[in-house]
Amino acid sequence: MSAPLPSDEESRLARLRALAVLDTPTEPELDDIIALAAAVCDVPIALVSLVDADRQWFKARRGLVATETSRDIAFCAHAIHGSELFVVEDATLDARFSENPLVRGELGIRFYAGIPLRFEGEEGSAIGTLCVIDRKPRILTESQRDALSALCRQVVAHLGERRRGRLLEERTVQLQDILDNGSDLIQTVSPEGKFLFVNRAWFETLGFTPADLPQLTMFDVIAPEHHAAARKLVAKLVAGEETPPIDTVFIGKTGRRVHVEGVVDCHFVDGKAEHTRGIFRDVSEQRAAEVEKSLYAEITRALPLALRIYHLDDEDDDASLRLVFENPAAEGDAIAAGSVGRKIDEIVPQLRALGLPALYRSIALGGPARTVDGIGFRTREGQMKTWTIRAFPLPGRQVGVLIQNTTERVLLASRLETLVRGLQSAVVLVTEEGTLLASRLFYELLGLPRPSTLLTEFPEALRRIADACRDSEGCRVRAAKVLTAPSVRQTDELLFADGRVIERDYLPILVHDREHGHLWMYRDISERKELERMKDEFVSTVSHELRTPLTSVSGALKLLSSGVVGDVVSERLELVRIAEVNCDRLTRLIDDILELEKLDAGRLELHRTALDAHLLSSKLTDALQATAKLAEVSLLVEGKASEDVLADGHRITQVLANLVSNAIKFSPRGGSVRICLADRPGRVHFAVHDSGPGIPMDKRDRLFVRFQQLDATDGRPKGGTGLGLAIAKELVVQHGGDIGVESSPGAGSVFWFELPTVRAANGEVTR
Amino acid sequence: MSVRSVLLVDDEPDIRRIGQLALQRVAKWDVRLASSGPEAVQLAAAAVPDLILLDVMMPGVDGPTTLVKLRELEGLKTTPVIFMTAKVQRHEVDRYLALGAAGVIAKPFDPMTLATQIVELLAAKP
Repeated sequence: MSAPLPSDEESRLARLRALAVLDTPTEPELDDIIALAAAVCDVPIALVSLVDADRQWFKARRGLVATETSRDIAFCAHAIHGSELFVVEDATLDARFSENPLVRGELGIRFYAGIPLRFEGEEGSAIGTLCVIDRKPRILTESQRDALSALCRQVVAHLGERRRGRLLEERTVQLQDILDNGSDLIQTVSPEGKFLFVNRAWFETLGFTPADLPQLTMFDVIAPEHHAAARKLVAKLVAGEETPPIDTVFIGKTGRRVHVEGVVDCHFVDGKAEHTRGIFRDVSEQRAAEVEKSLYAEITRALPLALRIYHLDDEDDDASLRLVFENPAAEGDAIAAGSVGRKIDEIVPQLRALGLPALYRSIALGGPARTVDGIGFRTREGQMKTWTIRAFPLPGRQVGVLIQNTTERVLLASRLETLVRGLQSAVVLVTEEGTLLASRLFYELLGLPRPSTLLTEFPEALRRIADACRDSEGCRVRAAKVLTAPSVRQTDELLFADGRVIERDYLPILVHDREHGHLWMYRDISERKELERMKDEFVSTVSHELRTPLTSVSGALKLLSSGVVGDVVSERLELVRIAEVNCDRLTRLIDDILELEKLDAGRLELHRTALDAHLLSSKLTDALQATAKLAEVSLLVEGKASEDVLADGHRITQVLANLVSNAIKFSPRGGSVRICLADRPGRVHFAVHDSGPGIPMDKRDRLFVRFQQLDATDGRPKGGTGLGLAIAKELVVQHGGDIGVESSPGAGSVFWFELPTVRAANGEVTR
Repeated sequence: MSVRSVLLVDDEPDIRRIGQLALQRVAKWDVRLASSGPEAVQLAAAAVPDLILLDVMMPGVDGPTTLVKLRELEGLKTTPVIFMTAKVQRHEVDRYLALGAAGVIAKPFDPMTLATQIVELLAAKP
């Protein structure tokens, strides 16, 4: 009869298969063991039999040709049930085997002894046996049984060895699989920081290749800001201390930052740190998402714009829009604050008239985002306010609305617009974007009707202005030139074809020294120009009309005093002389006033030529010697100038004559007047020294002011007009020079002026 | 050249008189007087003077126009003409000289040196 199947047959077979020993070649170690077993028990046959599902297969056999027999006739199928040696001393006498073909047949088995192959700690039935077989009945001695048990342990040990190898191999494969196919980054690093091993994910994530590895240290791969922490960690690990999980950043080959989390431990051999082993997970995306989430929360919180989110409860009804979120800025906006959970019409009923609920509904249903400008309505407090909104779709039938309060901006803009448009001068304000604000007078200037839409672009306005000019091209060119260097204020005059004279003033609008627009101001100065012309004519006429009677008066007096028309004596002559002197003075006064008028108007033409300062001074002293002699004052020129000055000879002679005449007038009898010449960088210095009483400090400033005459201390009549120095100053300044005075009371005065040399005036030398 | 006879043209009788006295008494010249441009042309045509002193601003025909008229007369093509004027701005002086004037004397003039001034102007002119 065949043996029953063990109750744990399935797991028994699994254990057998796990050994992976079935149908494998013979192994000398097992062959040796069964040889020993046969010898010890003095039997011809010994086997290592493994009981498979329907056969027994011999891993080792001795004294038998067959490699397997059917399981239902196998003695071993019985032996595997127990845990002890299974002995059949005479099979013919045993009802279980007496009819067995192995007993009855050619093989003629009589004796069987099998020890189940059991691994340590293994429960249940065995996977096979070590068995000995004889063709005659036998009884095993105690020592034979012990030997068989010992040999069985050897078989089990051998198979166990095999099982362990097999497991190891499997685990290695699994491990390699994990190493290669896992997404975690795995590395082992020497205490010096060299990479000993990294897995495929490590290469793939960081972009390095195996060829790169020998050149790398762990610090090449760790972001610089984490180096210090990494050093501390390694020191702890090497010292055998426990370390917490790591959160750090690796730098890939291309510089990509990879945020990782992981654990590292240290492998010791004989108490010495061999290498650190780390396993990391790339959490970059997760971190980025976290950052994004925090940022989003923070931005929403800090956003100066109000943000509201409405949910469309019923897709067919825009009144069902319900406020589901508002940020702090929205909470601070008194219009709808604290209305989360309420419906749109309850919150801001004004929106309905503006069509906004319908717009929000369409966007909540997936319509495109929209920006709406210039939304304005009166708040419950009665204030008119304006907003710009941006409505955009959000998932789940929601619409987000960003709301910017533009009230202030709109107010400012409209105030500015009102200001510019109402200005009592023709003003054009051009913004950076090229939009134009023009005052009413600007339109009037061009004779245009007032619609503000007519000139909305600056080039068009410029064209209109140019068209109105006599010299349109010149006007255009000058305006273009102004705009190429727009950072300075500039003025020019435009002569309109209709005869009007327009002064154009340009002013850049500067913000932090950068120009952000232009301001053009146009002034009709026709009237002023006409007045100037009339004044010129008046001055010319007056000069003629005043001089004509003066010519007669002074001529008559001079003829009288000279005696050519008969003798005038004693007090009569004295009176004639007084009239004569004052007539001269009146003549000079008229001349000086006309001269100053010309200087003020900038209409004095200077005829500049190269002049020798010494020659000019000498000629003048020659001409004034008679006057000097009369005043009993010596007059001379000292020094020389090594370069010519560029000046109008007539005018500079006039300046010098004025200074010298004054000097003579104020010098005492027996005194001296010297014209001293000297070089100055790029200039020639003229100084007129007198030996007069000097000028007190507090009066010097007034010297060059019109009609300021100092009192003559000695009471001599000086006969000046009070305009001489004012004219001298204007003339010198128009020559690009300077004029001044140095004096100390009692020690005389020095009136000086400086004029540019020819070379300096031509820009060949600089001061 | 030496001056013997002068034609003095001015619409102001006082100035004519002063000028006359100055030139007759001081320089001993023969002075004839005209009160307007046309009169000057008439007198000059009748007897060509050595020199004509011509006022600029005169009602009717002014000095410069008179000069042009004088130059049209035979015998007066080269007669020196000196303008006497209260308007002596440079551009005005330049204009008179361009018309062919021998010089310009500013008003008010000094009667005692008027003749000397005239002689100097004529001497400077080649």
